[in-house]
Amino acid sequence: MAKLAPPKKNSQDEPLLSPALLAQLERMELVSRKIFRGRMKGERRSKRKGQSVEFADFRNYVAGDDLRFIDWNMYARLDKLFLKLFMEEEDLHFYTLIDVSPSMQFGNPTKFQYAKQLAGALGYIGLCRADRVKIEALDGSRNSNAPTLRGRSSLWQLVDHLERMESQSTVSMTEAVKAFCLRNTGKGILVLITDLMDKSGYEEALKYLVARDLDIYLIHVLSQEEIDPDINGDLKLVDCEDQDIAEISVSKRLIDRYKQTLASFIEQARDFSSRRGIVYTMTSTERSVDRLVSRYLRQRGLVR
Amino acid sequence: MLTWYQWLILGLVPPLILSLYFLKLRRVPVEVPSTYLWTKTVEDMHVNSIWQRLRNNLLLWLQLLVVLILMIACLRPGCTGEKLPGDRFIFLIDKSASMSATDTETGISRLEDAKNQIYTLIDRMKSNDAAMVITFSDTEGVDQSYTKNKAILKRKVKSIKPTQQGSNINRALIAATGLANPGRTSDKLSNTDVQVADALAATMFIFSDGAIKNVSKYAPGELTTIYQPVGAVRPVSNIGITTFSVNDQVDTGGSIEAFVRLQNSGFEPKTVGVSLFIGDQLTDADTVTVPGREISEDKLTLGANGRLADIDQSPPGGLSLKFDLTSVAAVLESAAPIRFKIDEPDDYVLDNEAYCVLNPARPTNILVVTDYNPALKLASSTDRLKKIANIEFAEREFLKEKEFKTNAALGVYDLVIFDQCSPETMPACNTVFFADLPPGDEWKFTKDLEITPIIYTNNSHPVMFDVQMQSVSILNGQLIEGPKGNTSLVESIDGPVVAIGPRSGFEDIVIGFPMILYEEDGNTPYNTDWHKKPSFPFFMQNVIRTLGSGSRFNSLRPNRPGDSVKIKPRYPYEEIDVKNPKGGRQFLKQQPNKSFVYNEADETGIYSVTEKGSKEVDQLFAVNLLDRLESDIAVRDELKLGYEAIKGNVSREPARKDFWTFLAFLALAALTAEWIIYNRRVFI
Repeated sequence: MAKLAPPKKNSQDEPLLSPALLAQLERMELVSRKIFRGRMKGERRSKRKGQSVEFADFRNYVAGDDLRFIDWNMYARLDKLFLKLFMEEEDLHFYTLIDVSPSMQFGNPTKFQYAKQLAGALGYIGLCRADRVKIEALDGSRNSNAPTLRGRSSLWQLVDHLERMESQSTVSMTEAVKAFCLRNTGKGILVLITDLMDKSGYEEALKYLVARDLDIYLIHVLSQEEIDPDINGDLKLVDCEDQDIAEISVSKRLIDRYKQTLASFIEQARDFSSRRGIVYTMTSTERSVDRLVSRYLRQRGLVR
Repeated sequence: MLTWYQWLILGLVPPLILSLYFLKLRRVPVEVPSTYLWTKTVEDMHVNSIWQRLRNNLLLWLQLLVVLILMIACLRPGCTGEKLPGDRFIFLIDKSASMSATDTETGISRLEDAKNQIYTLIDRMKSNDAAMVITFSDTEGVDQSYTKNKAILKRKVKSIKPTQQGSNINRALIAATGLANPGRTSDKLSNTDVQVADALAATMFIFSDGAIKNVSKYAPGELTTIYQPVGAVRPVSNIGITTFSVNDQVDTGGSIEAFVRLQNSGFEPKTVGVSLFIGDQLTDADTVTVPGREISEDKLTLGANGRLADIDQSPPGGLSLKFDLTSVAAVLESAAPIRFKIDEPDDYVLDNEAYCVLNPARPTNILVVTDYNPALKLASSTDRLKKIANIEFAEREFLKEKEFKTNAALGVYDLVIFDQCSPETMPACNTVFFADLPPGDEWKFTKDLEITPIIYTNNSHPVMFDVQMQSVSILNGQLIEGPKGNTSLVESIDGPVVAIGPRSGFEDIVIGFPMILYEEDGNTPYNTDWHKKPSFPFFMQNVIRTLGSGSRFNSLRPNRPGDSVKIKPRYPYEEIDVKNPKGGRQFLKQQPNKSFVYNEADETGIYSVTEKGSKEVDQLFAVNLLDRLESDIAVRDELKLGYEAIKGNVSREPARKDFWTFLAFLALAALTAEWIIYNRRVFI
């Protein structure tokens, strides 16, 4: 059976993150529209008052407070005990979810490869800023073996994890997201990289994520062959996931109609996302990752 | 044609194509990331009505169209064409004036109709057939020699232009038969007759209306002749001018008359208006009824093809008209063009106008210098000559007087006749010398003659017209040697005794013998008995008419389209400018004989001659068709070529001209369109 746009061999052999890209990414920072509570000190200010050097406020002493933070100068002047409060510097949870359904294996480079590159790039930005980076596959498994990484030195682990990640058998997106939500309770930024080609629909899955009160970015990856299919003749189209068959006789009218359907599908996804505070970005695999990160995602506020 | 079961099979093809469209196609499987969008797309399009599907399926319609065209092609549509016998053809096309008549069914000219017929014949030629094109009017021309290239043949036929000339098929037939029957040659030494080339059979189509001059000899040999009459089946009424002339005053005793003859080629009498213009001025007009053909149509027999077989048995009706122009000519100051016109247009317009030139009525001044010559006096003073000429007589002494010298130099005289005398300088006019020579050394007497018989009279020269000298006796005379370009008019056994020679625009006649001998004792016996013969007054009349009138009668000479016109201006110009009726100009240079030859007189009308650079018209001349044969536009049922009468062709074998190739080509085009649409994904 012919395959629509089989991947080029060498596209798989390319390094996931090139040195030039890494150099570019080091200067960037992940931005959260919400301030979350982290577990460890990170390089960003937290909502919590903490132990940094930056003064935040005073409050009355109550029994049990750490005596080290009592402002003795104030006690001398006013004869009252006040506690000095400092801004707490916290780390950030940065989750990346990669759609690993077989449909991601199309395109040139494949959407899957593209997703891994993107996840790697964003993950590296997080590592540089001492965020808590976790990249997971949407495979629906209860026990994820994805490591939680911090620090620039974890880059090799990140790359190793991404390279070991494989496109697996199909689990519906909803199931996979549900499993992710059960496994991970931390709050932070979540980037979902998918082609949204799930016949059961993507809406339910996104609703689960929204319920987690995460800062969600949806990156919709499509291959050029899906955007502008170059096919001819009378064809039997076979779905690579469920072996569903669609018979078509290609004509200009059909192609035009397909493009209309695709446009309305994208519009629907954008609309659904924006209503729920999800930042939606559609990209083609033809668009390079560094361009996507440095330009499009910066515009949308994910990085700065 | 197809049999019923073949039709049945063919009829089953469209339903078969239609049913195939409802069958599942064998489709190529292609793996895609998701059929999600495709399914949605197809669902949208398949609001699955069968008819909607059919309506939008251009490919199906194209396929059905291809089958339909092929079915029509199988019906063998076509039209009746003409089957061409043989493989070599000669198209002999009449392009004479009568072929311009528009009495064809479609109203186009006969020549165009003939061309259309030839195009059809060329189309029916097989790829290896060769054909040639010969046209004829008064002259003939091989427009295209044998070729197999149909495009060239058509182009040549298309380029044939009608002429305003008569029809003479003779030389065209010689050219055609010569090609089909190469001549034989004799080797004188071996006394054997050798065939120079093999005769090749050919078929000759003559496209004509049959109005051609008689063909005396015709040996077709290997040539099969087919006559295709072109024009109306029944003769249509055509009133044409067949004669238009202004008479010679000498013949009518001084009055000037225009003579016109009209001819009606139809059977019914026809009334037409006629007008006579002098210059641009309408001078006379009339309404006349021209009778129809002499024998009515119902008394004539019909030929095999529905045409009247013996149309020539019933000559066209005619009417003569005369217009007196004496008073008009009397007040003319210079030559004026006359135009005679039939007001009503008909199918053949070329003969509806005729032209002539009217010269001012000026008497000719003639001086006769003689001491005593009663015969000359008598012959030069007839009543007829007196009406057109002022004839003065003078004695030889007069030549020495100043009056003569002045008059001669000013050109007062039109003609001076010197009887046994000669002036010191030649006068500016034509001259006749009896037994003397013009001054200078151009003319010479070479030998004395005694009692010499005359053996030849040059009757082709206008001066010697109707003059018979063979019975004239001459006692003493001299042989003459004239200047360059002279013409001998009368010859004795030893040589010329009368000659005419040019002298810078004038002509001199020298007669080598005297009429009267002036003897020393005063006797004046006759040297010849010429004065007793009728030829002498004829000669004198011709001399006065031809030389005395100068160029006056030049314009009366009839010129026909296509003729070479010899122009002799009044003064010896070196270059002249001839203006044709349409205003086109041509410069001519003088020929060695002091005249000019104009070869472009192809159209009827008035031509004017001026000196190059001058605006003053030297003379006018008219070119007229005036051809009874051409004006009788009845189409002849048969063509008489020599002893052979070739019937107008009716036995054309009807052959089909099929269009199936065109339809097959159309089907191929539809198929190509379908292929492009299918492969290029243009709108379906």
